[in-house]
Amino acid sequence: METEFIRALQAGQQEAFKKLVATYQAKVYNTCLGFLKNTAAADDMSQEVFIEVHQSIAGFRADATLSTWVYRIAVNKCLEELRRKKRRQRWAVVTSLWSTREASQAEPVDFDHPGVTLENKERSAILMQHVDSLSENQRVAFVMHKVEGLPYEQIARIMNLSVAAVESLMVRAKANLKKSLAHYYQEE
Amino acid sequence: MKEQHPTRETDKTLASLDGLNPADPGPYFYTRLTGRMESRQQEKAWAMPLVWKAALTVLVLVNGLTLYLISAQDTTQDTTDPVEMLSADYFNTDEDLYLLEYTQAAETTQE
Repeated sequence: METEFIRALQAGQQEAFKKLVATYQAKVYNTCLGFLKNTAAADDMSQEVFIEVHQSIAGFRADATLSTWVYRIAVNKCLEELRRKKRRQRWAVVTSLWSTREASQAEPVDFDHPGVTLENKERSAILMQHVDSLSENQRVAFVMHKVEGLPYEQIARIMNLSVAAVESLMVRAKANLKKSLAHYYQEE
Repeated sequence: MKEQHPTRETDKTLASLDGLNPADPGPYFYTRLTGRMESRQQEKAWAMPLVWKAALTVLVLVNGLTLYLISAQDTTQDTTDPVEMLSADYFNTDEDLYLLEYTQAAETTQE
C-alpha cells in the first residue's frame, strides 16, 4: 500500500503529494514547534520540510518508512536552523567588539505551544529554556518523546540508533534537566 | 518564582509537558505551501536569464573598455604634429636640425 503511494509521489502526482501533506503536516509542524519554540518559525520550517520532501522523493529508497523519513528531514532541518541561529549570535558578538552598537540580544525563548494547558504555560517555557542546554542528541530524543509523543522505537529509527541508546539519552537528558532546574529554582 | 521546595518545583516543571496536545499548523497550510513552491519555481526560472544577463553585461563592459583604450591611443597619435614626428625620425635632437639649417644657410651664402 505504502509502496504504491510512494510510487505515485515519485511520479509527481499532485493528489498523492496533497495526501502526504494532509497526513504529516501536524506531525511535522509539532516537531518543528518543539525545536524552534515559535509558531511562525515552525510554520515556515514545516513548509521548507515539505518542499525538501517534494524535491527528494525521487531518491527515496524505502530503506525506512515514509513516516521515519519525513521526521528525519524535519529534525535535520530544525537542527540546521538552530545551528545557523547560534552562528549568527556568535557572529553578532564578534562584530559588536568592533562596532559601537551592542550585540543583538538572543531571540525570545518563550515556548509558544498551543497544546500546553494554561496552568503549565510558564513551567513548560522554563523547561524548554533548559532543554536548549542539552546536547543535540539528548535534545532530539527529549523533544521527539515529550513534545511529539513518539515511542522510543520510532525515535531510534529516526535517529539511526538502538532503542537502548535512546533510553540512555532520555535518562541523561532528564538527569541534566533535573540538575539545571534545581539550580534555577535555588537561585530564583 | 520564589519557592520553598525546589525539588518539588523541578518535578512539576519536568512534568509540565505530559499530556501535551499536538499543535496544528492551522487552515490553508497546503495552499501556503503550494504558493511558496510556485514562487520558488519562478525564482529558478528567473535565475538562468539572470546569469545570461550578467555575462552579457560583462561582455559589453569589456568591449567598451577595449574600444576606449584603442581610441585613447589613437588620440595621442593624432595630437602629435606630423612635422615633429618626421623630425624625430631623422634628427636625434633639435640641435641637429639647427646644424642642418645653419649648414644650408652657409652654403647659400657661399654661392
